Amino acid sequence: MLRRLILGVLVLFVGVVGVAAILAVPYFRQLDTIVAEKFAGKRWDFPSKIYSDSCLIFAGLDLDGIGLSDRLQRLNYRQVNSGPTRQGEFALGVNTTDIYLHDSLLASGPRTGARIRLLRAGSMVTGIEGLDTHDELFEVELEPELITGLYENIWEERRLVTLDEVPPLLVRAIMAIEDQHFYEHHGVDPLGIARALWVNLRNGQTVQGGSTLTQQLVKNFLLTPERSVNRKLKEFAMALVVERRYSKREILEAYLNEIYLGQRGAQGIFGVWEAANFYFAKPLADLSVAEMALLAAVIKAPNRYSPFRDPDRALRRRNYGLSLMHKRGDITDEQHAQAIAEPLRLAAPKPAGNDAPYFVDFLRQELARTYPVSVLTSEGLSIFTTLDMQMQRASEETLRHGLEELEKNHKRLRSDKPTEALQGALIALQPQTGEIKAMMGGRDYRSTQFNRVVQSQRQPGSVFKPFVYLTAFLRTADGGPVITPASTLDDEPFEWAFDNQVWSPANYKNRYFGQVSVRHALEFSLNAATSHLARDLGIPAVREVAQRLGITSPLPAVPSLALGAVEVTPLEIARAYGVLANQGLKATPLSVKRVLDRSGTPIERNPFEVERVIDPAPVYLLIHVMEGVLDHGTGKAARRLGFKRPAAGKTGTTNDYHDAWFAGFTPDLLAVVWVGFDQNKPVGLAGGEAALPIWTDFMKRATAGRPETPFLPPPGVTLVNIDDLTGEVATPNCAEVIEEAFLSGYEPTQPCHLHAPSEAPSAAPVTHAPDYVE
Amino acid sequence: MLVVLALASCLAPPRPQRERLAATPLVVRTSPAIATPTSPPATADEATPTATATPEPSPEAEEAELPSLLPKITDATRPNVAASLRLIEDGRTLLVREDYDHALDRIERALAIDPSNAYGYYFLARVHYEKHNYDQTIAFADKAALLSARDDRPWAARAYALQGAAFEAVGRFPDARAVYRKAFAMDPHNGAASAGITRLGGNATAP
Repeated sequence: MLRRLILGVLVLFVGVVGVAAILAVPYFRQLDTIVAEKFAGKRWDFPSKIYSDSCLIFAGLDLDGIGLSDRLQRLNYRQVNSGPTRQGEFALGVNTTDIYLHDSLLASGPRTGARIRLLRAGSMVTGIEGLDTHDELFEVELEPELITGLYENIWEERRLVTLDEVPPLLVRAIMAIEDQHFYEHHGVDPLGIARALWVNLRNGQTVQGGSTLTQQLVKNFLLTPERSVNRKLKEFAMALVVERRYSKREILEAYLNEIYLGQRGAQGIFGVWEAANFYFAKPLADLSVAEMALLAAVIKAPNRYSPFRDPDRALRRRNYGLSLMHKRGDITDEQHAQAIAEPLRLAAPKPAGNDAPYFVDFLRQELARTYPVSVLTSEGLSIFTTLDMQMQRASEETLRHGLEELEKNHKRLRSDKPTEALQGALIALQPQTGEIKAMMGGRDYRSTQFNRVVQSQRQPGSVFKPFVYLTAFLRTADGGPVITPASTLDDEPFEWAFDNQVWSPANYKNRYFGQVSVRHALEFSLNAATSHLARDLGIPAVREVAQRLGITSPLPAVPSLALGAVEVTPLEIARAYGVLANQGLKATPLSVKRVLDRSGTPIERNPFEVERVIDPAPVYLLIHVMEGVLDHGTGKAARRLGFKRPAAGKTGTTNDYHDAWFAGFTPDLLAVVWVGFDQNKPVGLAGGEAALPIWTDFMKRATAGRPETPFLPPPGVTLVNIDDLTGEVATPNCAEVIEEAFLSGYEPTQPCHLHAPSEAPSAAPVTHAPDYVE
Repeated sequence: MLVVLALASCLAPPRPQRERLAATPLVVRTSPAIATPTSPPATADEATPTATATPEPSPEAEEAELPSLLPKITDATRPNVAASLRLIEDGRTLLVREDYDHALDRIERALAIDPSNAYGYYFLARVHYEKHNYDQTIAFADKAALLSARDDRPWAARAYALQGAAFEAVGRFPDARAVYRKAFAMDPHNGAASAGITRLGGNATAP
């Protein structure tokens, strides 16, 4: 009876198991399909990464000026006393700086790290050589800085590696602490689960997990984070399927790339390559035993065991892992002792913040013209931009500091509401190339994301005046009425009738100067004199020149246009002034230099391109006068504040002081600064008071350490020393002599009649720029 | 392709615009010094210039036509300018090898170091010319000429002559003639200038 009962139970059991197995087949088939699809398809989304421009180091550069040590620190280079022997190290000698460059991805493609030596005299680079090859190098490129990633919901930072690229000891460290029987089980390890239960019970807390690497991979890769018995069973089943379908090697490789290992702000650190970079700023091959053990140690709970957050806890966990490795025979006694004694040596934690949020917003719009959002957020493009991080930081700090100073000195400018605070914008371009080097669209991106550089339409005021004078010089070059910088203009109140209306330009503080030279009229931004000139030229002509320079906003043909009573963006002003700085050549503002796909293959390259829109000689005349704005005109505070390089610029202040501007340039860098309120409240300060100090501070920092270049007169320009009062050729008796630029053929030839020499000068002090025969 | 560089100062242009994509740049040449078109056009504006193929120039001739920039580096040269010149020299070598993209990289890098380097703009113009990007050739050659006119008239002449070739390539013959004249004024020994003027009608010194 008993035997029959046992037999019956057995038959029932086999039957149930058999039926369950039959019923489970479709379920496992379904799981198999899911696994196969996921593994065969694109496994991960790779956010595109936006990089700054790289930093070129060359002979003649002042390393302190360009902030080399800051740059190296941001790029995760560590100073060492001897060597450098490993990538990412640098050593300072008496007259040398030795750097072991990282392996890195440059705009031109991947670069293998190498040791280089900068020869210095003080902080000035005098030469560069390869430390291993002893070759003389012309320049060295420091890798670009990561600005941000373009991600959709979750920013997963990950770089894929093959199993061969991962040190075997790191794999053993992970197995020691996470899955000791990885090579023996079939996806699930019942003994491991039992052991973990026992260990955890004994310790009174969870110190060991029972999930195999395969289960962890399944959990992260294929399942939702939900915690339920159902999901756990599914995890078991899928782990079995994965093990049946893929080799241990394939599973391990996927795991090493998938695993979550830390968090930097919004950015999740995934995979061992990214983790080695995040925690130690090292390639995998350079990790010490202790560092590998630490990586393995944080897997269980990357935030809880983060060495940045709680170094002691991380150290205890690392040492626990090392003891397991030692017990398993993965490391020798000596290795174990050495690793246990090794202190934590972490990379400097870098915030994942975006250092150039306004620029990135601008860039997103630019990129969206070419790439769908889905591509940008998942295809892992490397986007190399024109941004100079040092200049970007300078723009942020100088704008913020400048506005704070204004608020400190003028209480009426303060506001309790961040959205109503005094605002500013700064854009810097390299005029020759149009490359955007820095962009600050407001004082604080967190308060307002409105990018005033490109979105804010404001009146430029006197910043517009140079276009009037350029029109005059162009007309002279075309054979029209002769206007030179030494010509005189009426600076008197007058009425300008148009369209049945009358317009009367007024000077600052209603002060008028009678007959003034063109130079003085622009240097001191005289409204009446400028308006007289504009009336003679005709507003349509002025408008046409402004449009040629790159002003695209609508420009009404009204007299007040001459004084900048129109609305434009700071970017337009930068573009137009860029043409001036580039001697009449227009370079389209450029933000993206090159785009590489995930394999490093270039898919977009944007060389700079230029177009001749204005003849160079009239432009030079204007630059020469605008240099005077800085040297002794409305912008002379720049010199007082210590900016001594050759530079030209113009202040801008609008009616009722709503907007304050300064736009100015050296031959190699242009910056435009705007200060005002979004609500269009008056600032109550002129451009020279509100915007110029910010511009000066920025330009001093942005040009520090870089070689100085002068503005060179082009063919067709003649430089003459003239008497400042008469505009005639200076004689030895003239007290106020200035060097003035003229279109060749239009220079004065008569000696100054007020200061006639006792005997005729032997030769007029005339310098001819090289000319050609037409 | 060594011919390409050697012809810098005796540029014979490719055929005008309609054929610009198919144009074989600067492969047809006359003597290394002064090109003499076989049949000057009746009027410059209608000109479709032709020239006579000539033997490959010797390395010495090439050197004379488009000399190395390295001798321009002296003890007085500012270090950044010297670094820039060396990079441009690299770019020149790459241009000879028809490796235009890498040449462009080197030259752009040189200009990042010294943004006022006339030779950099000249070679930038050359690369664009080889890539049949004539608008950019015209613009960059213009810049090169402006920057070198004061200190290095032979190079300014080369730049104008290159600009002339690009103007011809796009069928802007009056502009081509004007810049050839500028080139000739800068350097009367510039063969491309003389040849261009002759080819397009008129004489070198006439307005």
